[in-house]
Amino acid sequence: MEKKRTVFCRKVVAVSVLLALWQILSMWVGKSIFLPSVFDTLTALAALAGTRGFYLSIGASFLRIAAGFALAVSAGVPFAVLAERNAQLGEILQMFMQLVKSIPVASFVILILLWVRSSRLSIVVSFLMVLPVIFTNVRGGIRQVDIKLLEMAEVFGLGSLKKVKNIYLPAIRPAFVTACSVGLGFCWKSGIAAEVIGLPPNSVGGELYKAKLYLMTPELFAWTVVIVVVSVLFEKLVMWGIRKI
Amino acid sequence: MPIEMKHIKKSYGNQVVLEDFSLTIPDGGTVCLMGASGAGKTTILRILAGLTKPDEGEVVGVQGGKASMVFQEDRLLEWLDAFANVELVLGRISGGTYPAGQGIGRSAGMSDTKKSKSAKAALRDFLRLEFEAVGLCGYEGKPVSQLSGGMKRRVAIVRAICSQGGLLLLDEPFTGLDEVTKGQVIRYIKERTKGRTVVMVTHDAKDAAHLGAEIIRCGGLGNLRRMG
Repeated sequence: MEKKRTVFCRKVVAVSVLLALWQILSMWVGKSIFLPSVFDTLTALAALAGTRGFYLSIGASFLRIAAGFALAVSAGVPFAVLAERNAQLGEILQMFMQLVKSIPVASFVILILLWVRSSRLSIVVSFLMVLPVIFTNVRGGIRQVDIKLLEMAEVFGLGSLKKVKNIYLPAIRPAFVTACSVGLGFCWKSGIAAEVIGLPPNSVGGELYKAKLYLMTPELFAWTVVIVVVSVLFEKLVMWGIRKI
Repeated sequence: MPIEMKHIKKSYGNQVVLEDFSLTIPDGGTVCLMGASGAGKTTILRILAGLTKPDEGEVVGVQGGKASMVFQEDRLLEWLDAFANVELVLGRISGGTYPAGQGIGRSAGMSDTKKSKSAKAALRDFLRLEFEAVGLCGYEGKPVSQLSGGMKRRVAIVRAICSQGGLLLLDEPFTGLDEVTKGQVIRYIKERTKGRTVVMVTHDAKDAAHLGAEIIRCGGLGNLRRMG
């Protein structure tokens, strides 16, 4: 209990120090258009929060990016299993993932825009950014499975389900948790970047673009704060869900 | 039906471990393999368990290819408790009671019927007696990761004894046990394996004597000497 309080206090101090630094820096710059103050940003955020579009944009962006993440997990895990079961398929999938990891988001966005509507762009981009992370980590986790336990399972004639539940899943779990944590950060960054380029209606990325276009720097900062808060909450939610499994 | 290993050859790379190795293990008998390290004792157990394929030769008589084994290492699932580690290898259970002294799989008759609460309770009662017999009373529900080395060893022994395999393979089963506990475990094994074929690897002839086992000295490369 004491430890939890200490950690919380440290976090509060850290946030306060960073906010103070931001405020000092903005006062030193002296022009809100270059670096708005904490107060300017909060004022812009409060104004945005009073509009319906604010919630619509957050909701729509959240759904698209979450869908991309969910698809990446749904595909990445079976792909990793298949790659470990078949060496040739594993090589093909590994190369594909390597390729996806090396291609810049901007290249993807332009190419994908030729194929899908802008409203679906962030789903595809989030999916493609998270897929290799899930694939690589889960595959690594499968390789970490203790061969000696698998031999034990063979001798005692354990069925596939029992093996998966009691040997594979516990071994893969740490790698899967890490993959999800890293992937969640990736999917928000890449998803919003895709929205800024694709400009789908009702999107945080679109609002960011508008703020940049009209030099509304406090709004730009306010939207950035929103992205950080929503992505952190999303990560907490997903991690809570994983812990419950 | 006796288990026969016929003209087995096994090498790892350039190192030949077994060459023209033949051994007959009487049905229901207890055999103890002894010999220097590297003589191929563990390889013999692995071949009997079906974990290692011989380069040449064959093994006949292992019923349904089923064996249960105490490995050199405990090979327990550390994240489960002692109960769950043993339950895991028992397969589906039917209703009924499980009197101590009977391997569940062999005596109580496994069926494909769904686990019922009463069956599960009966199984737990049975396992509690098994754990008690090896001095683990009160530790059944503890995660294996919290048990000492000697306790884990006994959980591994109970798991092998209770499982369905007709052939029981024990690879240095008493490692990490003090003399008193060892005596208790030997009595437990002796009592629970009546009529079951047992092959044990040990470096201590006294262990073999306590189990009433036939000692077979492995000299490597198929050189066997049967002792009384």
